[in-house]
Amino acid sequence: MYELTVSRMADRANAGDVRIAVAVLGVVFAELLDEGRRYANPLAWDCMVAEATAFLEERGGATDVAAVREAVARSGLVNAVITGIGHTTLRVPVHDSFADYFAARAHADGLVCLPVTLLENDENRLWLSSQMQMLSDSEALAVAEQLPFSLVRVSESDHNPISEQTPRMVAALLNAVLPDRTDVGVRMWRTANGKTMAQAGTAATGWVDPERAPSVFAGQTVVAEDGDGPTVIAVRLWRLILKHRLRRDRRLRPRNARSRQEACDQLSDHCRDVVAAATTILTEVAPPGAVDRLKETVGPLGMTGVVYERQGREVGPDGWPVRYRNTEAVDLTAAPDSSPPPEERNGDYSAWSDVEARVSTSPEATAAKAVGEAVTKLTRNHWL
Amino acid sequence: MNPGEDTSPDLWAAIWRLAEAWSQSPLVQEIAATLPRNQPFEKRGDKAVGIPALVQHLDLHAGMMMKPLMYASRIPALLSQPLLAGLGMPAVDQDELRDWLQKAAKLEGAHRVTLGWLRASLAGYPILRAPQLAPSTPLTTEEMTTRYIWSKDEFASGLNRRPAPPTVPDLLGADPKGAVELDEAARDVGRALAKSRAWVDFRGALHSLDDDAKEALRAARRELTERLSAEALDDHEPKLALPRAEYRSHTMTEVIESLTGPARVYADAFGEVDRLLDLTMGDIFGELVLFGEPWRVPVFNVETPKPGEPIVGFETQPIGAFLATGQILWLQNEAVPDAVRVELHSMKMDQVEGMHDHFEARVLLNTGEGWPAATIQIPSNDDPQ
Repeated sequence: MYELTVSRMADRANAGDVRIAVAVLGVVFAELLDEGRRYANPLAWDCMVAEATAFLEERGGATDVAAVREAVARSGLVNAVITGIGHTTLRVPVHDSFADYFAARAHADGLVCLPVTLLENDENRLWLSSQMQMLSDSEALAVAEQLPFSLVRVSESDHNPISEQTPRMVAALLNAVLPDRTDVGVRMWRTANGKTMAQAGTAATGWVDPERAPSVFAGQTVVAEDGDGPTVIAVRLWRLILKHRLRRDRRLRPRNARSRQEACDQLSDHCRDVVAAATTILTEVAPPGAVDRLKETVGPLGMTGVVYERQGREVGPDGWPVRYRNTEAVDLTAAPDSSPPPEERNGDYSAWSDVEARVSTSPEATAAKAVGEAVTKLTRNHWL
Repeated sequence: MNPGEDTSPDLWAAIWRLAEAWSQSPLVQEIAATLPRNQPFEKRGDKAVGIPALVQHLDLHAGMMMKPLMYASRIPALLSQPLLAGLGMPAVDQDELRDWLQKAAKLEGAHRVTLGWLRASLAGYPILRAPQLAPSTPLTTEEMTTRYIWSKDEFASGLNRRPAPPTVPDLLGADPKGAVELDEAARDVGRALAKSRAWVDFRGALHSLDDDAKEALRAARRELTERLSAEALDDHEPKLALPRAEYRSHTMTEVIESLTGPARVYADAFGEVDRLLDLTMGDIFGELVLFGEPWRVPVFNVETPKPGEPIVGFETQPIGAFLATGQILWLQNEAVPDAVRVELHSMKMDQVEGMHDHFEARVLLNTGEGWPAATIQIPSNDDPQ
């Protein structure tokens, strides 16, 4: 999409050499992004374009600064934005994501390196870059360590060949994203028809003879599809391990409540157990490089609100309604009388539910679901 | 041990033979012809009418209760559920339905007798001391359960003295030649089960029971009877079927797990016997009888998600929508040479990649050796046209 837009805009503006403009912009935006920005003031902008041109010239990329500046300006890919303060004009891309695209292009073309420290702000350019040009092993490893959740989307374009080193690489990626004290081992083998199999477990990492291959049920195992690279294999094993760790026993739900107070007590107990379970689960699944980020994405799981008298419903069984908001603490009270809950969503308690719907799923399963959904949000739809 | 790990090629071969004998009977053929999965693709979904439409509707809304050998007892119960009736139940001629349910009842009856007859070869029969057989457990309740129940009548009918499951050929409408094959095939299954680890372990567990253990088993049974009384269940949840079923199964597990020593070994051995029968001669047998040979389907992204369990995950394209939970399949791949039973189906819609069908299935260990090779191949998108 970006490629098409860029070439169309350039065609319309009759820009001379788009290739050069894109290369220059890539180098410039990569530098800006390294500083966490997608804009520059005119003076700094001119300097950076000049430096980038010089840099390209060194690499045989050619042309003089004025021509490049002209090409960039006419392409319409960079806008001057007038800010309120002192009428400074800033140079920004037509859309923020174009900055990521240009930087990704420059990286994929080998003009610039990825920054040493990867931040959330770098996720988009990483992903775009991985689509244009596969990441090297060390780059993939840096992603696993610093932006673990990005590894999922980055892996989608990994077709690096399977080699002697692959089991070590897969294990390194897995151990970078898993919080375990003991390293996971990865055994790999090839079937008679040349399919590659990989199994995570406690055994030493490496290739094994097909005759001595373990049972596929001995540990999480994936059958690689043709063209799957090491990162794909690692991400598939990671997914299986996460799913397994997020599996939680159901326990018996409490008996059906007889009073508002009993319903309220059941929900309060349940809620406290959810908070405790979530803490345990996070220590078991959160990648070392993204503990806080995952925690933030899960959000508070406590509830502050009011439990109302049991209401009959048109569809489904009767229930004890609760109006609440999610908070760190658990602070639920039973309504003072049997009047029905307010019909309107008011500011204090904007979330609606009912006690049965909550307590029918065990606290452990509820917490696991919340963490799983947060992982999905940070990786990609339907990943888990 | 996991259900399905105790299955020898001989047991699977015997079950295949018995299922084949059943599927050739007039009664089975009549019922099979009305099942949605046996209809051509163009007569499924919105195009279905009559009994197939009704079964399809119930499969969709109450799938876990809809086992083919339990239709006769399940469908009337489900039809009386007000929640289900509200969901656009297809109209069916009442006489046609009554007639069909009568046939299904004969099928269910024949299956119960067969299961009862096979159970009758257990050590100690008809005196089984398993606490699981207390009234109102998931294995004995007349209410909603996913299990093939052990009924009281079964123990009183002297099945252990019969050379083959009585009345089955009559119920299935078999001719004399078919009847002989039905009896012989049933004896084949009986012999294979008698050799299974579950059967052997159960016999061993019985012989190790001393007086204390027997008393512990009696006490456990009394405790279960009390904790699963009508009053106790109503106190937990008076109406809703699901919480009630959950309470039964949770209470049963709790009581069994409180046992120790030889009593516990005996109760656990009984649990294994029941699970083995439930899988092989219940669900899988029912599938083979009514739907015949499993399809072989092209799959990708094959994986094993649960260490220590014979479970396999895979994706399909584009046949996924036509595969049902409970269905048996052969996977066209190299990791799993045995047939599998679909247990979980999830659809993933993605704007970029389109529709994906993801499945989790139980591997039926040793069916690769015990069953004839697949002949029904579902073509793949990649195959040259």
